[in-house]
Amino acid sequence: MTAMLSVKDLRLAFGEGAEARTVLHGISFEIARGQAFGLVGESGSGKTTVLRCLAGQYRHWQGQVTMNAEAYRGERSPAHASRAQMVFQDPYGSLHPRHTVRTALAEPLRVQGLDRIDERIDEVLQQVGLPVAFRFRYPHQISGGQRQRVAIARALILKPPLLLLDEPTSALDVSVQAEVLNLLADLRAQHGLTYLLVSHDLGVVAHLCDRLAVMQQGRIVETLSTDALCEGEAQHEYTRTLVAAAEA
Amino acid sequence: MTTSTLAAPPVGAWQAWRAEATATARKLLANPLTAIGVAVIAVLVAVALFAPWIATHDPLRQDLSAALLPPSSAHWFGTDEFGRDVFSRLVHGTRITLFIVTLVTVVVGPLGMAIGVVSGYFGGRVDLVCMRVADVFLSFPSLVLALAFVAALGPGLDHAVLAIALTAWPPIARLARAEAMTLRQADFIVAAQLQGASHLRVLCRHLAPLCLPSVLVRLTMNMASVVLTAAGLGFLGLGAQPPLPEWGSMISEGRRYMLDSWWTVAAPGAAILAVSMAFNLLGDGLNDALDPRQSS
Amino acid sequence: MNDLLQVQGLQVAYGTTAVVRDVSFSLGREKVAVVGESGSGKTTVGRALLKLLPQQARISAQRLQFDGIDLLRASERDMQALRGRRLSMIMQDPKYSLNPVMSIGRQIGEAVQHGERLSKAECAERVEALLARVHIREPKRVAGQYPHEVSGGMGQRVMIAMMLAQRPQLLIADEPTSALDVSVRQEVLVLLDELVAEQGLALLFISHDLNLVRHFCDRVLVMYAGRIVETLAAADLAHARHPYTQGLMAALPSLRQRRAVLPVLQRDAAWSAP
Repeated sequence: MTAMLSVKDLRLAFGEGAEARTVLHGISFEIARGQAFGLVGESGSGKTTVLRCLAGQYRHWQGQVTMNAEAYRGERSPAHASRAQMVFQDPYGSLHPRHTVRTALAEPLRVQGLDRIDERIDEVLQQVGLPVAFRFRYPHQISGGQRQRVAIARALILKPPLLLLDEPTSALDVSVQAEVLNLLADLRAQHGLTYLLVSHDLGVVAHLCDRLAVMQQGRIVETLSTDALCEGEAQHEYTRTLVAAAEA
Repeated sequence: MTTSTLAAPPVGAWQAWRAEATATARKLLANPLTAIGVAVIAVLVAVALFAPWIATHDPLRQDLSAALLPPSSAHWFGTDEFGRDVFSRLVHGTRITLFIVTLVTVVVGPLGMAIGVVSGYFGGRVDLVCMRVADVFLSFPSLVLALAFVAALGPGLDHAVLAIALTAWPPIARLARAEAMTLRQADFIVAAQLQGASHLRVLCRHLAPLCLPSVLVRLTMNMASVVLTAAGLGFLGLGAQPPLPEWGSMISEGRRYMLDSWWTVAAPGAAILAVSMAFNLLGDGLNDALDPRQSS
Repeated sequence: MNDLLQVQGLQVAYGTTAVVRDVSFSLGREKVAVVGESGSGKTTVGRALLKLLPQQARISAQRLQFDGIDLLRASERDMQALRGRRLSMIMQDPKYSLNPVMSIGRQIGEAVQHGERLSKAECAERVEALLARVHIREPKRVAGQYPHEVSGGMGQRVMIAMMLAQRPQLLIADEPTSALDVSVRQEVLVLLDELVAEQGLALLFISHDLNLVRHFCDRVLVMYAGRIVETLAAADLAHARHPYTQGLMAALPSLRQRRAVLPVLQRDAAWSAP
């Protein structure tokens, strides 16, 4: 079975010539269809940068990326939109402040030229557990957790097989985080989605993901299954430090 | 961060929008100074609309036997040197003032915003070219450019308006550009791009609506200076040509008789003052009402 | 134990909305955590003690005493004499709490000079000593740097150094490690620990992270909707009795205890009842 996402030797540098700063030093990993894969690391490790490359925000990377059996070169097109969508970290920044929930959810459908807009919106709102009456609210009228649900709904409405998650719960309260994590786990089980989750929180990654890669300063230092991690089988010293800090 | 409470959840897109607009309007009018500004502008618009019915006399009819009469019950603001009723000329002058202000705003607003937003969003070479062009226009004082236009094309209201508009768009563009530059990195913009939205769509549906508030505020404040510039041009004889009752040219014509017949200058002067002040107050109030950071 | 800070019936209201309701606790030379989620009022409590809330806030209490001084009746001038000197605060993100246009050395120097006249050389010496005290290697070099040139962890240590300059008796730390990486967090906590032990500081540690305060603090006050719902020793957190505390502890995803579904906190209206 071909992998859903395959990244080989992803490299990225900013600046030119002598001032070039390499941010990613050859990242490679694979995610099978329906799997959840975590990228763990601290700030500056490059994990969010990997996500941005896959979302098309940075184009000047080198390497080979295959998404859903098609080669990907960093373009941002409607075709790519139906392959991969992203959920962002900050619920306050990821929704347009002047668009109602309905407008925000209708936008991807309009761009793709799809029909039955209201039907699809209702369907996706139900999937994320939000009442249909929320359609006409503005972001500042709903809570952080609810905003994040809308963001997830927006990512799902095009039914992409791959979901890129950038620290989706780190800006949420603990109790709300639990709800959103449960929701994400449910959605994956129900729709067979593939997740690439970026987080600094090992607990969150362990809850959602089957496998994970630990990044440090632009390199993957270790790739292992979550089971192995929880049973203390981490080999690399840095991974062990992270585990120790998480279990403390 | 607190979420605002809803009295009753909106059930339609129109309802939601209306609720927001009402809330903003209420915030706007809560400030007494702003309310005064809005009232004055409302009066201005009403007077301009109903000018023929409000004016007591024909603004263009001359009656040399009744020249330079002081304010009385027959002529509320007296008469000018040709015996024309000053009040009626003032009233009809509101139409000209509104015409100038509206025309300039309608040209400058969209043009400035379009250039600014495009410039800020794309950055790089597009930004460079747009801003250098803006710099060229910014370096002209509007009055000097108006003089140049008039010298080239001949005096007249339309040419004056064109001259004012050409020098008024760069500040709007700069403002829109600054907002666009801050916002283009926002997650919701990235999300829109990720959905495959074209640049045009992102600019029009996502970016521009957010740049609108500060541009609107700037435009209303610009209106005050437009009124003054138009009056200045009229004063120099470059704007509205006689016998049109434009306020600035009224002051210019009344200048000679100012010492004895103060009403010929005081009335149009006071009108210009009131209207400029009103636009400034409105702009201030709009700034407070639309600025999300200032919500109480 | 002679309690340094005594709070009884603290109430903070904005207009008709009470943000902090009937909060009572005392603080001696120990580490006490105030834990809660957003909107619980924990940050407001911290700022109310220093009277650093916006003008619209109305603070009232049966008792608000710091070392015998009635904070409630203290004038702004009295508070200014207390703030920074005897009652100090460090905040979450050094990016926002340090002045970006002044060098680090100069900012600490300002804190050092506060109330004392020192020569430039003496001041520089003190600044370097303070930086060394917070385990910053190469204090001289760092003193010349600007806040944006140092990492988050170092910035936080600079804040602690600034706070130390005046040798306060009580330190309020408002989420001091939330903006820091996991590995750096420990360093800052270890530093705070040392200072508490060495200088007999009283520490009020405001945080949303239960796990963090569990191992770091002596006592924990759990806040919900403006009230303290439970007060317990940090070691007893596993045996918390209030359902909110229990719910918070259970909702955390943990490496050791993996569950398919995380228990979701069921909010009870009774918790915020008067």
